[in-house]
Order: sequence, then structure tokens, then C-alpha cells
Amino acid sequence: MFARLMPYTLVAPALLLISTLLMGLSSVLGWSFQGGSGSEAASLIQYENLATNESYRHFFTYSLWLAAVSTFVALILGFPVAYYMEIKASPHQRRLIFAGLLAMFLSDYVLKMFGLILILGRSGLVNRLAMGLGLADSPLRLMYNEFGVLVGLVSGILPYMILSLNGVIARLDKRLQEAAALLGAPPWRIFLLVTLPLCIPGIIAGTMLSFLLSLNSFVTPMLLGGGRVDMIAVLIFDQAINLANLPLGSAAAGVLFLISGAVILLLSLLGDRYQKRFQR
Amino acid sequence: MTTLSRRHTLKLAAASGLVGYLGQIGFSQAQAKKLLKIIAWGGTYGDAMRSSWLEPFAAASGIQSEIQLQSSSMETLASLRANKNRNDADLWFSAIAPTSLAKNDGLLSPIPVGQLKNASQLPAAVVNDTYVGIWSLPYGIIYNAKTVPFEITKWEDLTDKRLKGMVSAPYGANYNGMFIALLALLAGGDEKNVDPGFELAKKMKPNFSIFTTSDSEQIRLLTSGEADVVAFAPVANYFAARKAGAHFRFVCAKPYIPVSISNVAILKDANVEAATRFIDFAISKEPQQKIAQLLGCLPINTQSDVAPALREAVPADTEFRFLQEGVMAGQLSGWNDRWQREIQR
Repeated sequence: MFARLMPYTLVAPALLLISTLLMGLSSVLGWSFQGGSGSEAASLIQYENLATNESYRHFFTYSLWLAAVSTFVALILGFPVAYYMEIKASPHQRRLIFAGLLAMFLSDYVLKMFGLILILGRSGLVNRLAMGLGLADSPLRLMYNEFGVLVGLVSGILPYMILSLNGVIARLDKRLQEAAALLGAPPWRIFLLVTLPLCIPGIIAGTMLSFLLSLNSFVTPMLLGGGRVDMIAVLIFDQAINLANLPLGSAAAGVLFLISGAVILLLSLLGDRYQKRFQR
Repeated sequence: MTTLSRRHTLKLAAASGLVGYLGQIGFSQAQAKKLLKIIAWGGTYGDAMRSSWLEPFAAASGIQSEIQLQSSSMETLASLRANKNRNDADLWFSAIAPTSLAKNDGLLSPIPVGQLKNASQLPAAVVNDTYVGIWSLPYGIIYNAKTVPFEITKWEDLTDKRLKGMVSAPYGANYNGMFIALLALLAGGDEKNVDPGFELAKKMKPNFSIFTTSDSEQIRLLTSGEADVVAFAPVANYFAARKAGAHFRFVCAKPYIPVSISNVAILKDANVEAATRFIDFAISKEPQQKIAQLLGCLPINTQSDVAPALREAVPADTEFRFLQEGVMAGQLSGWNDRWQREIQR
């Protein structure tokens, strides 16, 4: 009897957590179907508002663009680090890089953004250096604009990208690269035709995580955007909290949820397709 | 004589326990009813309320009260709307726009104005059965005299080209749309016609560099040197910035400065009797004088003295303008979208 109940007992906390999340989500979705002007009848008017209002559409298209750019930059910056860490670094260097990543990974997100404010601010480290070296006459505006938000997003997602890539690079069959070298392939060709294709599962996993984290980002545009960088989470907060317009805020959250689901589905399908092709 | 079996004894014990437990719950709920729950702002505001109102009121009436924190009154409105009929707070400190919206949604109890003995000492316009004014805050321009190349004296100075990229303005319809309404009035419009205000804001646009969402952000930007001018700020922010240096100036900009009325409302299903007693205490002369001193705001009670620091920042000859916040309330969403689209981007 006890043995039969054991698995249910073990999954009970997870089920409780999932059901709480689902209840919250269904409540939000419920609000999104409320009509305007206090109408209780179910309606799609909030979704219609989001689709037809150019201003709201801008929040979505701009967030998707920022998420794509930040993910791409994180991939470009993260790949060499992950590669170096696994292939070239000594065990001591590897431990050091890993400790640095772990510190970035575990430190509070708001704290990280405040750290960036200290670095990118008008009297921050970068501006002091630039002016000290004579590269700028007056402080450069490095935040409270798109550039600041991109720096914030990339610094937030970089550890996720590196760790996702690192997992795959660690499992690379090095004999394949050696075989290619023996057959006379130059290093750049080995990288493009052997190493990179083998890393695709890690690239997909890192892209998925990074893209979704960027797309849903709230703290970064709030702290580093200066009200000029329109991201979806800011729209949700603005509508639901600043304007107490819960139906519209909930509809925006519903659309964000759908987009996130679509991205997961698309990248998972891409990963499966690659896996099948690779196994053949 | 009837003897009880062991099973009956256990049942009886359980039933007694249950009755006792339910009695305890009833007692706790009755006790809880004596505790007045107040939704209000935290930080300096919360501290000042505790020492000027909550603690002296408890000493005078025996009614304890506690503050449930809100970061903005619109946030509370959202929460009240979401939890309709499941609210356990009694009083809500807010601004006129959110209070008006809450009234329309049936989230408030009428205030028994006749029971407020001190109401006669308040301007008639701030006492009604929806809300009672508790203090008023003048708004002006704050700037850094070290970095701004000229003395700012009027709202129109915000269009001056020398301020390019130096000014921070409210985000969207923040401050309940008061900045947008003010610009409309200055440009010949009013609370119902804000088109001229947006035209004026477009002239200021090259000077706007950052859009702020809160008082604390304004203060942080000023004191860290990220913003040289805050286009629209309550005088309390000036007092906070001034702690970081004497080079910050508060300008009661010409031709007039807007004043917002903060208020208190009684929530639906509240302990109306205790809530009314609290309001009556809060608007009386001494507590008003004390909170005005601590917050640097104008007391709503006409018999209370204005704090010397405020008198210094806002001279007696300053012309005030009270905005029709009730009229503005229904338009905030549209203003917010338009401000984001035409000014922030």
C-alpha cells in the first residue's frame, strides 16, 4: 500500500506547484476575455485592441527584435568562451571561468542591472575611462536607450547561453575533428563543417533559453531603458498596474505566453529535425 | 445513570474541541475587526503616517491600525478590481483619479461626512462621501544649479534649447496625468482638450532624455547626475534630493503650479465606524501639522501651520492651480498611449 502511494507522494509538491501556476495563468487569461467599460460578458475586444493599435503592436515587434538581437550577440560572445573553456583551457582556468559564470548566474538580477548602471552611467566607469583617455569630450549616453537595454539583456542571458553550449561542446567526439585534420582540412573548415554542426543542439537550447528570457524581460528595460525602450513586460505592467487596466494587461500577457509557446515549439521541432537527420 | 463508551467519549471530545476551535476563530475575527487595516504608501510617507496618525490615534482611541503597503494607488486599484468583494482593508490612501475610478466600480463605502467633527476646518471641495482630502502636494521643476546653464523660472523654459537631453519627464500618464493636463492648460487647452498640451510637449521633446515612473527614480537620477532637470516633481522629492547637496533648486514655475490632493477613502465592507474615527483624527489640527512638517506637504486643515521648509520652497505668493482630476481619470489610458507614441519614442 505504502509502496503504491510513494510515487504519488513524491510528485505531490510538484503537482501542487504546477496547479497553482495554472490557476494563476487561467485567472489572467480569464481577465483577458473581459470586455471594456466594466462589461462582464466574455469578449475578444482586448485582443482586437492589441492587434489593431499600432502603439501596442510596436511593443511586440520591438521586443521580438530586441530578443533576437540580444540572443544573437550572446551566441557570438558565448560560443568562443564555451569552446575555450572546454577545449583549450587548463583545468585551473576552466574552474576560474566556471566560478565567474556561476557568480553571474546566481547573483540577483536587479543587482546586476544596478552594477551596469554604475558602469554605464554618465559618471560611470566607461565614461570616466573614455574621458580620461581623451576619447570623449563629454559623457556618452550609454544607457536609458536601446544600447543600454541590449547590454543589460546580453549580460543577463550570457551565462545561460555559455552553459548550454558548454554541455554540448564537452560531449563532442574529438576523434571526428582529428580525422578531419588528418584528411587535410584547415582549422576553419573543421570548425565550420565538423564542430559547428555537432554543436547545434546546444545552440538551439541556448537560443531558446536566451530568447525567452530576453523577450520576457522587465527589470532591464525598466532600469536601463529610461522609458524609451518598449518591451512587452513593461506594457503589461503599465496597463495592469499603472493604469489598473487588468483586461488589456492580461491580454498582452496571454499573447506573450502564446508567442513564448510558439518559440519553444518551433525550436524544439528544429532540434528534433536536426537530431533525426544527424542520426541517419 | 448513562455511561459513555470510549467511542462516544472520543466523539464528544472531538466535538468540544471543534466548538472551542470555532469559538477561537470567532474571537480572533472579532479581535481582528478592532484592527484597522490601512492601504498606504511606504517609505517616508508610511513612517510619517505611523508617527503622526497611527500611533497617536491608537493611544487616543484604543484602536490599533496597520499599514498594508502600496507602491502606487493605481496598483491598489488594480488589486481591488482583481479581488472584488474579497478585500480585507478598511481605509485606502490614494489620489483623486484612482478614487474616482474605484467609486465607479463600486469598491468604496460612503463616508458618513456628518460624523467628521473636524470636517468644517477643511476646504469644502475636499470633503465628500467618496473621499476626504488629507494633504496637498505642490508640483514644480527641480534642477541642478551646477549643470543647468541658466535660472529656470517658468514652465516654458523646458523648451529652451540649452536644456537639450538634460530633462527627465514623467513616464506616460504618471502622476495621474497631471503633467499632460498642465501642459494642456499652459498651451490654451484644458483637461478635456489636451491636444495643445501635446503640441507643447513636442517642443520639449528634444530636451527629454529619460522618462521616470516613480518619485524614488526621480531622486536617484538627480542625485546620481543622470538627469539635470526633473520637469515635474512633487516638492517632497526636492527635499529628498536636497539631502544630497544644496545645488538642487525647486522652482514654483510661472504662471502657476499644480497641486494634487491626496485623499483617504473607506473601502467596501470596511469597519466604517473605526475608519470614520481615524479620518476625523487624521484631519484634525495637530496631526495635520505634524504630518505636513514631516512630509513637506501642505496641510489640508486650514487651521494647521505650514512647515517653514515648505514655506521657503513654495513662497506665499505662489499661484496654485487645482486640476480637475476627476475629469482626467477616465482619460488616463488614452493619454498614456498617446504620450508613449508621440513623446517617448
